[in-house]
Amino acid sequence: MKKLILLFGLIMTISLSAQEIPHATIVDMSGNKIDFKELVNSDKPVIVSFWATWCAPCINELDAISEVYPDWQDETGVQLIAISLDDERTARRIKPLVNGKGWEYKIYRDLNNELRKIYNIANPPYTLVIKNGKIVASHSGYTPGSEEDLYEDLTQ
Amino acid sequence: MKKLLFFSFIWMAFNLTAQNTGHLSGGYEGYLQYYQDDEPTNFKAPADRLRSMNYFTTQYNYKQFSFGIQYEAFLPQAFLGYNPDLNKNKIATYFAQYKKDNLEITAGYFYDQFGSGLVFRSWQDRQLGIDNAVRGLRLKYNFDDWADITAFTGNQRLGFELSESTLYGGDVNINLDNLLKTNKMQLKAGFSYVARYQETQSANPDLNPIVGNYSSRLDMNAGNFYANFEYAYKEADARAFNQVLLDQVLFDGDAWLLNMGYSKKGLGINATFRRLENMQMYSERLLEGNTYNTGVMNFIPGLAKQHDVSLANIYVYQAQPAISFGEQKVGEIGGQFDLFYTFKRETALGGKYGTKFAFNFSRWHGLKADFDMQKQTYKPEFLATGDLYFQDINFEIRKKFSKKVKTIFTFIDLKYNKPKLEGESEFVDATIQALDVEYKLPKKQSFRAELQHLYTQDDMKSWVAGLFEFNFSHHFNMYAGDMYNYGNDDEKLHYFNVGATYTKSSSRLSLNYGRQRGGLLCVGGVCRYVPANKGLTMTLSLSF
Repeated sequence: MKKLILLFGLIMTISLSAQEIPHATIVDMSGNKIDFKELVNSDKPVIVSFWATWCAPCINELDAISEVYPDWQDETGVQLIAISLDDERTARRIKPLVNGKGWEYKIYRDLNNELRKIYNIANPPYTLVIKNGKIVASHSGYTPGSEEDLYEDLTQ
Repeated sequence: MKKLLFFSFIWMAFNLTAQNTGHLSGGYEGYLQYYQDDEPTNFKAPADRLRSMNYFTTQYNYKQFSFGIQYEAFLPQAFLGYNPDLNKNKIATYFAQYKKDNLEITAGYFYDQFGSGLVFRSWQDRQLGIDNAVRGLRLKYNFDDWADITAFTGNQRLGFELSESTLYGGDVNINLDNLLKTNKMQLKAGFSYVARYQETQSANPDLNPIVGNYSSRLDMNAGNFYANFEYAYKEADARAFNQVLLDQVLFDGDAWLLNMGYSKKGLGINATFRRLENMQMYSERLLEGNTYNTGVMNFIPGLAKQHDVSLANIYVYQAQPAISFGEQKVGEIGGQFDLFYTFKRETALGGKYGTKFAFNFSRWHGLKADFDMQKQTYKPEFLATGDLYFQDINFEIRKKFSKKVKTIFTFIDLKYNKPKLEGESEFVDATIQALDVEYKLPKKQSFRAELQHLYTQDDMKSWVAGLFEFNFSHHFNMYAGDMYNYGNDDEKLHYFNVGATYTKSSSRLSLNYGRQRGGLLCVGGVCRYVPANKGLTMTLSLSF
């Protein structure tokens, strides 16, 4: 137990300004490999949403944002990148689901769980707001109306 | 302990010296459980009532290099239903990686997947207690646009030890787009070979220490259409049952997987067909069929819809790749179909905000085969179907009625062959209905209420379930729910649960007290048996 508490303390006291984006390989829906750092590098804000076809709150969040997405884009030029954590069992459902719902986001897959490990994502949805290549906010989970928090992050 | 402090100081040193040129990340994920005796379910709390499972990971990325360590502590031992070898605390996995331009080299423990995972996949799933990382060396090379190649060798992680056997293999993916005269179609081909080298004492001279698995794949995209095909073959090998080697007759195996779809804005269709025959593969022969999924080398998930509806998770389909003479069953054949459609706004069925409809169908049979019990051989047919194992016909309608109210209605018709799939009870024919309503309140508050009903005359008979969740803010919620087996002839039990969750940016803390139903816990199509239990659970995840 003592070992745990000590390790805990060490993690908590390590304060980092590590908001930089790491390199990681993700895959687009045609199977082409893309570098994550290059993808989110933009002078316009970028929202990165980690989701999965089996994650109901993730679908709720992306559905809710899709209703206001055109307005957000007009106002801030934001791009939403939806990175799916689906593995082979459910990956085939990504394309029909995204199109069936009419989402306009750019969809990618975290094929080898690189980003899932880097960001320690245990429970999707996990959403990042990135401005000028730096993470300015992160959110775990989704409750109705949480997209308003994202809007605040975008416009601050 | 000294190792821990040493690594912690390295983290801090890196932080201080490389603040702007590297990226340090990591986190903690922990589960704490306190078991209580529960008379109605005949559950007697185990020897250690208070148990914890802790995972510490850290990763440092600096220019072309990255390093990582995962430390696991099971104090005093892992929860019920997990591999009992997980009762220590030590460094579980570590790696060092160099990545520049088209080359990537990894030394240490790594995770990977070839194709759809039919011949090789190593991954970690903490809920299932699976971590079959391979420790060794892996090389990846990318030939720009037209091909990429992976090669590896190593031993697989088994609990906190390593397999005696050695695994090695390679994977090639080729982009054939440039060979096609048109740019309206994309075509990719792939090949993999993964082998296990294990010396085993056997009376059978044909038993080869090297058993190879081959996979060939083709992926096509043409406008709104796409199709994926994979064929996998496993060389002849002995089987094992309850740690006893069955080497009298050796069997090879294969898998056929075909997936096709069409999607455009507002409509998505996907259909999958799969046939499996003796495709289970373990890094050590005697691990075949173990309840903890220790030593699995490939990924053969049950291809059926993962439902959010809790009553639908009582009967979950687990893939059946293996041969069993005792039960006279071999492999599986079947498919899954998905349709997603959005009824646009302002149309008759769409209403003011549009309506989203999702339909899913899956059906799985055993292979039709003649078993010769004396010679211990069997003769399967290719496309014919044997016993029906599972069928799920379901649809889901999501509709927003106003700015405040959203609903989801689900209907499921389920057929589950419990005797063939779990070895007990009777064939289950059930229908499930569920209604989920979300209501938005001012000041960032909301609540969700869920009502479900499962009707069946078989097995445990009917159930009703309800859940109420109140979100006090975007960061904090509390919930209370119950699953009541009201139709049961013997004991009508309540599986109640109350809890709360708190999140703040990337951190999450949750508490749950209640009675858990015993049965299969399935994550991503791979299942684990969980005994019924009652108690308090706390989970915490932090990341930096």
